[in-house]
Amino acid sequence: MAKTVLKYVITIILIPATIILGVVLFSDRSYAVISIAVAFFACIPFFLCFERNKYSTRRIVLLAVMTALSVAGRFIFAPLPFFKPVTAIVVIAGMYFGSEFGFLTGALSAVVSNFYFGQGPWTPFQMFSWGIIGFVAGIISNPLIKNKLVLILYGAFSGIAYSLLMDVWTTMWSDGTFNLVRFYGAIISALPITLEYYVISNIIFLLIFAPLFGKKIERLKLKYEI
Amino acid sequence: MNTFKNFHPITLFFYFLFVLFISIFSFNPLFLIFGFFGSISFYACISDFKAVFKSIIFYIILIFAVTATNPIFSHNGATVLFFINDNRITLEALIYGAVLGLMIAVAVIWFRCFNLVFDSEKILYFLGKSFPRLALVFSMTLNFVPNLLRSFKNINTAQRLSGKKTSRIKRYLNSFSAVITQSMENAMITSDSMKARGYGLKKRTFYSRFKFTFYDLTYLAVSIILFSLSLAGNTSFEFYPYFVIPKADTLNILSYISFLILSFVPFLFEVKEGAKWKFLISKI
Repeated sequence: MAKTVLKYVITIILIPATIILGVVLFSDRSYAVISIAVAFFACIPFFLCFERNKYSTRRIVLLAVMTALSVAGRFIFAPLPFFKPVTAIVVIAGMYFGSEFGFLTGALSAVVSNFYFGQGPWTPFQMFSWGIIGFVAGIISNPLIKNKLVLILYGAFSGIAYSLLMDVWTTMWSDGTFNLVRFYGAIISALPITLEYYVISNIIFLLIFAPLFGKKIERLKLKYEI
Repeated sequence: MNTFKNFHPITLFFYFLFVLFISIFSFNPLFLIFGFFGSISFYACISDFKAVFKSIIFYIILIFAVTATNPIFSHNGATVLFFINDNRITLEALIYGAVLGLMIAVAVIWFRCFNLVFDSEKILYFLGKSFPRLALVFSMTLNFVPNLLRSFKNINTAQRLSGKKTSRIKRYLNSFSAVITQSMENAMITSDSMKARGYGLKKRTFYSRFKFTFYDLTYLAVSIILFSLSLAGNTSFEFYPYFVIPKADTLNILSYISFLILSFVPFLFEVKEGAKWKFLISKI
């Protein structure tokens, strides 16, 4: 118990400490690395929760399966350019298994898929972005499951949110500071991809996959009492 | 040959942390040039030569693109070259852009090397101690991904050859749906099997094949010393408003030399091991 408390305190102190230390030590090009570190540390509380909670074995294996499905989906739908089901499956994981599960699916999907597509300084950002998308999906799971319109809206929202978060990264990485002009430039140049790749593909995949997964998961819950 | 990856994960992790840290923070053209050649020569050793040659062209284009675009976003600097629509284009912003492009290129090359050296087993080694459960999920996922892809391929081929006339996308979706059901069913069987073998009753032990040897310690110590020496000098460049080059005193030269050695450590190691290999073969 003392160990867990200590870990929490470290996490709570670590993030502000990173920011302060970064600003003091490297006054010029601080933002990029600080933001990477903060994005990474923000994921740690979820990982700690996962270690501490008494997750059933079934949920642990299902977490691995959902993550593997989202990564495999990236390969399977590779013939369709820009259509990647990762976000949709992360949202579905959050929807049906709760917010913590959603966060973990998102964060793990980023790490594992980057083993195939290349790790980089963007990995913590992707972890955090997909994680938070899954987390929010878990919070609003009820309307998401019941109402199709909410699902479409959330699909669009998560696509835009992901794109914006990654644009923040691009800006900070290439400028060192948060240059607003560059940020607008990044948003505008990414706009067609944002619309096509993130928003439309998210909505299509969510509309197809949500009922598909829903049926299977309901059956699984009934049969095996997860 | 990639013998550098046989080092202990801790040694490797700190090495990459050090070179990336200096490459990203120093913002010193000389450091970046050393890093560029050090990383690209190592990258050429561990991957095939043609790919490296192609990627060099890509990095040069990248550097030029960043150099050209930086003055559009940044109007700092005292030496005005010319005006575009009342926006001043300065020499300092142009130089800053060039250094920035070089920095991004160096970081990307180091990350490519990192990808080739630091495989998933090494990541698991880091996770396994403090996050045993996460490490379990992680390794299970890495096992599931190729399995899922294989079963998708099987199902998809069966669907295609069954003679049913469906569009490609529809068939892909159907096959993917089958994969989902199959994998979830399998997950339940796996978890039952884990439970039957007593998962969760006792603390899990963790096996890793890495041993921290004296050799690893030596390399770690060498990289720590070189890293601290590189940071010792006052080597920061100033870009705005004027371009200021730091003085070339003894300490700074020492810093440059240590970083030069630090960047070339993996390359020299590869060369050394390659020579040893050839020597031993010639003896036979």
